[in-house]
Amino acid sequence: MKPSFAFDTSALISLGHTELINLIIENYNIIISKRILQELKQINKGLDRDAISAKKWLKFSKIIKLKEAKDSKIGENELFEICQREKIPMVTDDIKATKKFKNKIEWIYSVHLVFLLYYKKIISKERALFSIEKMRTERSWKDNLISVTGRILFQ
Amino acid sequence: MSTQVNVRLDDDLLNEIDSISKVLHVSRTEWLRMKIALAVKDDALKLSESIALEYAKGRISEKELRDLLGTDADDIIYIVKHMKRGKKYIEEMVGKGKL
Repeated sequence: MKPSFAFDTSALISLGHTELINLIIENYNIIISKRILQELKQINKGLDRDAISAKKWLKFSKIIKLKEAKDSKIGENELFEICQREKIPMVTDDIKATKKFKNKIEWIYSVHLVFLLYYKKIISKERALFSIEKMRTERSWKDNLISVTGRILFQ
Repeated sequence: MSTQVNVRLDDDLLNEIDSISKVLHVSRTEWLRMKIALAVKDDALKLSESIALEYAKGRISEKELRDLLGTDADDIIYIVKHMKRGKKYIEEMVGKGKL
């Protein structure tokens, strides 16, 4: 059985800027909540690069697993409940949200997932670093900090 | 407050700038001012990213990071701390065959 990760919108959008979606789906179960799906659909309506990223994920909406959680206006709150219940880690680039989780659940950044693919020899170091660089060029300064410092994972 | 700066430009470059500003319906000065502001913003961002990476690699201290980036340093320190924790988590879980 494939290991599972719960993804928030920020992580999905970051990873959607890479060419790794197929590999992530092949190797891991992608868990999201209703709110995260709504957020992806909302971003998909835009005209920017994030909309392209959201569209890529929505193509796999039949494969992505939608899990039930108490409705919340904040996607991470729903995911937090799912992660606690299912005992699975969350993938998120939302710094504010992670400060709320503290040590209550396991969580990693989107760049960690790229590192995981490299660590399991699914992709080369060069491809991993290229993917992180791609994420960096598409995201804002605060999100960039994750992909900029993510390079230390490969030291 | 603003200060006038005199810059000498090649005629060819100036002609190109004039063509662009004419199409955009802005003055040459306004176009140049906007381009310089964009270049400064872009360079400042690149510099901040380089500083963040230097800290992540352990080449500058927390104090130096704070002196250089002010309040943004807090986020960088937090991100780097959890970057290392997350790496350790992945290595452990892969080692246990759970990922």
